[in-house]
Amino acid sequence: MRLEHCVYAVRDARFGPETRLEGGVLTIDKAELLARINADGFFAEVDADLARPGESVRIIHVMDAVEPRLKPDGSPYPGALGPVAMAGQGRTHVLRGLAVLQTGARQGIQEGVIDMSGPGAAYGSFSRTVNLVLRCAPPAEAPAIAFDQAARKAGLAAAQYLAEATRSLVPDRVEVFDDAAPEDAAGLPRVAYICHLQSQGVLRDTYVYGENVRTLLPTILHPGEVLDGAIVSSNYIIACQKNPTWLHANNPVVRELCARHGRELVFTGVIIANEHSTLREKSRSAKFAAKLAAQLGASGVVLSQEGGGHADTDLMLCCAECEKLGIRTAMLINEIAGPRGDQPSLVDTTPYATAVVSTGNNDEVVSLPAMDRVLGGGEVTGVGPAAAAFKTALGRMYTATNQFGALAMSAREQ
Amino acid sequence: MFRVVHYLNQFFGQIGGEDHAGIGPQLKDRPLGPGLALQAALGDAAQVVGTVICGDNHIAQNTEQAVDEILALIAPLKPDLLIAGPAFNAGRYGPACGAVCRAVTQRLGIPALTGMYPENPGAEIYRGDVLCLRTGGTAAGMRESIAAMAKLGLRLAAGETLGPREDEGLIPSGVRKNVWLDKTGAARAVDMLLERLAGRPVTTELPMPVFDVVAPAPAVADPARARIALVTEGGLVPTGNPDRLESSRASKYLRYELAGVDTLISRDFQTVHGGYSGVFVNEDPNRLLPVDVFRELVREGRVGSMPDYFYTTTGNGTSLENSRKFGAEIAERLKADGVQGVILTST
Repeated sequence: MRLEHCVYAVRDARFGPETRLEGGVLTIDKAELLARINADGFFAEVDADLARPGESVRIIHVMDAVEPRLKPDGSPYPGALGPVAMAGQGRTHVLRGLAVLQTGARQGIQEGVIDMSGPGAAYGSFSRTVNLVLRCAPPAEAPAIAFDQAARKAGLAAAQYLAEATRSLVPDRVEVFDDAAPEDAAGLPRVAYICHLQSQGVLRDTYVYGENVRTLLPTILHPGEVLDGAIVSSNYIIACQKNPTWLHANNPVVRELCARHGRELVFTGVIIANEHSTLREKSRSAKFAAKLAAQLGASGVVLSQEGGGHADTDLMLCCAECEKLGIRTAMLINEIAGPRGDQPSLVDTTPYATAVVSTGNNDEVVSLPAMDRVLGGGEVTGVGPAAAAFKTALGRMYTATNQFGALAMSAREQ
Repeated sequence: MFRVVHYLNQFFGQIGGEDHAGIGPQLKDRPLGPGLALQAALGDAAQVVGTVICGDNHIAQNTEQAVDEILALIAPLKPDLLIAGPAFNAGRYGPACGAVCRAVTQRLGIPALTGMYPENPGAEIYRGDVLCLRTGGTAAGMRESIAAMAKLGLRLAAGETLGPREDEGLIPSGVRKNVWLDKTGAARAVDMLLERLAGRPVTTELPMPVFDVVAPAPAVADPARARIALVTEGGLVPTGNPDRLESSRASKYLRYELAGVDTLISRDFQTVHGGYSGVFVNEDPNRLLPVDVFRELVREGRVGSMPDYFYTTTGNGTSLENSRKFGAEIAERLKADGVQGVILTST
């Protein structure tokens, strides 16, 4: 299979009379955009703002981030937006450097914060992108589920709408993801990637080709499918450790393994497995994922997590099952070591977990300065007015310790 | 030449054994006991300008006051470095060395170094705040330990930044801090896996933590005579969450009244827990906190009584430190109310 990302670099965006991309600047017809994302009139109100790296802007209530993409003859997020079609083949237009951020409050859901400048900007992937920040207000008495579905679709629709501007343009560059390995790859180690998704109930769900993976028996995806919008997030708990749609479609582990495919290793495929709510399901999933890795002939796997707490058990069981089958593992996990960093980092362990990459301690406290402008809401949950300076655990900082290893952060004993 | 003050207990300070463990802090203007070896190891680079001695029992029983007095003896000597011990595996001497080193570092801003056996309780308590050389369990290793402490101490006095504790022979701090590395987590994970597949050793970034093992309490002998309370970490609160219990990373626990409440109804109670779908709880809060069934059991005489309140918090990314504190306080309050058992519903 061969996937081509036609990359259109965006260095700035602004609102204007017509949506078009010129010289790396995306002009957005705001009225047309808003009409598109509220086509059926579900939302009581929709609005959009822009935030750029380096600006004195704080974005709060962040729910999801989506990369603007266009599949010229289909949907860039098939199943979740438009009909199901197999992803991972052909050409996909990508607006690189721009993110659509869906914002809003959800009951029982913790805050997600992005600072576009200052010390907080180091923690997360979306302080470096130009962001189109959506605010979609639900109609009175809308059920949480209906609102969330509509908001998710609106984010994806906005992403597709923006990338439409590239339809007839020549890309800045083309990234090719081709699974054909050179003939001399025979001696290279075969490596699979077990990507844990977290789907555990409304507002903490993940979708693959538009379907919820809550009851998923682990299955195999082609790396190209992951990079082509097969996975869409609807999971909003603990902001620092979320894997938003943007990060699924740019999964850093998949990209890393693709880049080394045929040179240092043979990338045999992505196994997606859900993090379940009961031990019985966790155990079944772990054994099955390990079996699939063996079926792919993998001698090693990278494992990644979403969320934490009892999700540690899913990772540890899966690690142990792989190692018992003789498949070596390396895991990506973040830590809950307490504000001082002196508490146990995980809630579950296995003696097999001897190769772990830490993506940082969620509990470490950062001081955020006051900001001139706030988008996404007015008050940070549990803090107060969002424009003011405040201290917070990294837990609130959107994707700060995400376990795809997008950032170069780690935690170390001093 | 650097000025060094040495801290010793009554035994190593050559005052006496256990019968002198109660003596208060005192200052000698010369090296004593292990201090002679320390002075020899420091050579011409530093001089032991004073030895502060305190009895192990005295400092153990009045730590705060004793440390104040010790600091008052040390400060006028204007040292560039404090060396305490080494304490090896001595169970009161270790914490004393830790307390003195921490106070000297934090309150006087003077570098300090102690040495002890990793299992000394002083290491566990103070390793996060204090530099502590890893020593053997007994004073048989005095010569090597003193030599190593002199060497490290001179570097500290010179203002040098030490390398990772493990590499310097120090006991790891047990404190993890976020750091920025050259490569992304994804690249490091693939590197680590390829190293393993090539048969080369790797160093994990996260050694597995060791957990406390909590032995379950013995069963309540006769529930029909027992007072049993309901407690949950499932984020149950009165509707509207008047006290703003967090959805995750809870900073508090709360107590709510159940007087006259025979069953929980969704109009009055809801969950704010962010770690599971609250739909089933919000439909019928008894599913989380079984007040309905429990009232029945009390009426039927199968449970003696239940308090007319429950305790609640959110167990979702909540720190171990907070969880320990909540647990201890809730248990203490329940105990004061004559409660013998708890139904603790977890989610």
